[in-house]
Amino acid sequence: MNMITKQHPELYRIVRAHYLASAVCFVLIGVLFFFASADFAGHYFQPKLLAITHLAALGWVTMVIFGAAYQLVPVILETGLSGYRLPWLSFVAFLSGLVLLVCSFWRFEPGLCMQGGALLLLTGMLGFTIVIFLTGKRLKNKKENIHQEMINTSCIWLLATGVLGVLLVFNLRYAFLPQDHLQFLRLHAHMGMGGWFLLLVIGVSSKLVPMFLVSRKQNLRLLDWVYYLLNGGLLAFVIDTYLEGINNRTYLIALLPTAAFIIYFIYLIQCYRSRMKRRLDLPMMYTMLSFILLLAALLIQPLIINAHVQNITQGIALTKLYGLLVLMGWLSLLILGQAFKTLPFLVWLKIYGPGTGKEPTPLPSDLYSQKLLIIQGIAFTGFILSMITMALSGLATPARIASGCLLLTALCYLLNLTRVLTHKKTTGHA
Amino acid sequence: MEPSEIHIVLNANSLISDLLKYNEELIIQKLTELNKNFNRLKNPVLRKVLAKRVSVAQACRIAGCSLNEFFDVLKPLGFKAAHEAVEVDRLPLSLAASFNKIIDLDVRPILAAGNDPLKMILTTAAGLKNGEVLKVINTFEPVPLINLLENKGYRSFIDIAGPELVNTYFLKKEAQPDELIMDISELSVEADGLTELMKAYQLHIMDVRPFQMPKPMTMILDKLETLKTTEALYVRHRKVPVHLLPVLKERGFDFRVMETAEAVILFIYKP
Repeated sequence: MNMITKQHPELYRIVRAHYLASAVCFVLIGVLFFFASADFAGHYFQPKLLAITHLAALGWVTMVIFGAAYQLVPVILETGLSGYRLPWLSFVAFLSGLVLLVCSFWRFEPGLCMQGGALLLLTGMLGFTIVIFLTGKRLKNKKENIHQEMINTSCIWLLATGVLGVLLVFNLRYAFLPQDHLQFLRLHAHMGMGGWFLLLVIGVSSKLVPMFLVSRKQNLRLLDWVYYLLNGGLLAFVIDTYLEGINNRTYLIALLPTAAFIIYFIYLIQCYRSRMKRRLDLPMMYTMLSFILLLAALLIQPLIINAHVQNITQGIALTKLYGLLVLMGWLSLLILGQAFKTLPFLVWLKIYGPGTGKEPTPLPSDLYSQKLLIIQGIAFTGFILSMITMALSGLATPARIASGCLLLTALCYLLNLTRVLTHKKTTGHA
Repeated sequence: MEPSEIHIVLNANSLISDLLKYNEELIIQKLTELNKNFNRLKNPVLRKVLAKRVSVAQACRIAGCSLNEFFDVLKPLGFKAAHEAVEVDRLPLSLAASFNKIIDLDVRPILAAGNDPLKMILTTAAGLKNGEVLKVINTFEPVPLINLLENKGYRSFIDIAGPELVNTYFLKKEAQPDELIMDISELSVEADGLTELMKAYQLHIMDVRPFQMPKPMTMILDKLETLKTTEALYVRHRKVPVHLLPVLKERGFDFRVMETAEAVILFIYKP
């Protein structure tokens, strides 16, 4: 029987680096939001929004996912990480690529800087994928495991998104792609959001939520449906949109991932209802609420398709809202909650580990500040409301309010994270 | 992988390829030292073709060495032979009293008639309900049967009732009644740091290591529901169940965690 009581000291350092880098990106987004507040009125394909989107999707979300995956995949698969050098190399490549790409998007210079950045980012993603695959290979019992299947497939979608992203960057300079640039942008965005983020989040959370809630019931057969519907829908969307653009069939295709999501929602509700942990803590509440933001985004999809099919301009505002709801709404709230469900455990295990049994220890949840988490929640609610107003009206004032709220949220988050990471050993239950 | 990390259980039917996975070079070297015929494994083509098709028993026959010699060579590398891995527990008296219902199955007449009782035993075992125990009455210790059922998630106990009379008890692992003990000296080494605290309680011992998360957590919480105020729970766990800890606090329990060589020990009590 393999025990994994001892946490590798290097794991702690890797995960910490990813969480901190990601939190700094989040603060930066708040700042850039302010400087770009006038630009939210226009089309979504423009330098400053591209820079912010990629800072959010890669720096804020993907970075923290990498870190969390290094921590959680070994927990889910009950094995150790395959190695500790490759995660560091991947981190360095990814971070330097990110800086280059975001800076060159902001100033919009589609030259060497942008291309090099894109390639470095792809290298980082490749490194991550290799670590995850090798870790999966260490499993002794080769039993089918739907969580692992989802994680592996999501890595493939990540690489596909990255490759297409690199092609798009080169296309800005050499214009060799056969179709409209925006057409590919749509594919790129959906491969990233659906294949990478959604599939990965479902794969990881379907294992963790029952653990956090201590649920009796987990209907794993539902997850098989989720897997096939989501991947099938994405593949159909990629192929159909590549060939024909957005058309009447897209409505039907959009139904598949939506159905997948609803089935997943049912799975979550079953876990929630059969839970043995009665009181829901704040991080878990944020997590549950975040899925409502995703549901809202999915409900906007038919409206966007309609705008495309009818060829009306309203589609642009809706697309901005859609992207914001997914990236800054769902994923951000998910991280803002889950970070305090995962990171404290890592720190707790490092400091208290399996002790000697001689003295009582504080709980992992005592490591973060409840107060800061509440302020963070209020600021984030303000951000969501002003963001929706901003996206629909295109006015600069709500955009400024949104950026202020976002900055406050990000600072609370960073502060709370630092508090967890600098925790000193105490005894007794606080 | 360091050899010390391996604790793989092998039996005569294990494939050679299963074993080479862990440390090909070292294992081949040791085997060659045992018997020159194992030299063939150094040839990559032969190795690829043969290793996946040949079992340990067949390899020994081909090479002309005994199974015991073979396992002796592998033992220092961290492998265990399967017949050693079965620990046959003797039946504790306290446990016999806690069985709700015992289903007797006397296989002696079946064996005497020259028939194989295996199928009948397996069907009866599969039909066991919670708290029910299967008692197989036989003339010898049915080691292969114990192996088979333990792999299927049963726990077994042996009670040697007399010469030519052995009772073997099987129960589903989930339905395993825990042992209530009063004397913590039985745990003395394992519970070094906890001794003082534990003296005040009667302990229920639980082992949740065979189960997948989140099952261990629900088992512990279910058990806690039935606990009296003078009793406490002593759990052997595979890792620190970090997500269980807040729920314990929520329910007014306190806990201590400590580590031993085989398990993480969780001591849960009402302060």
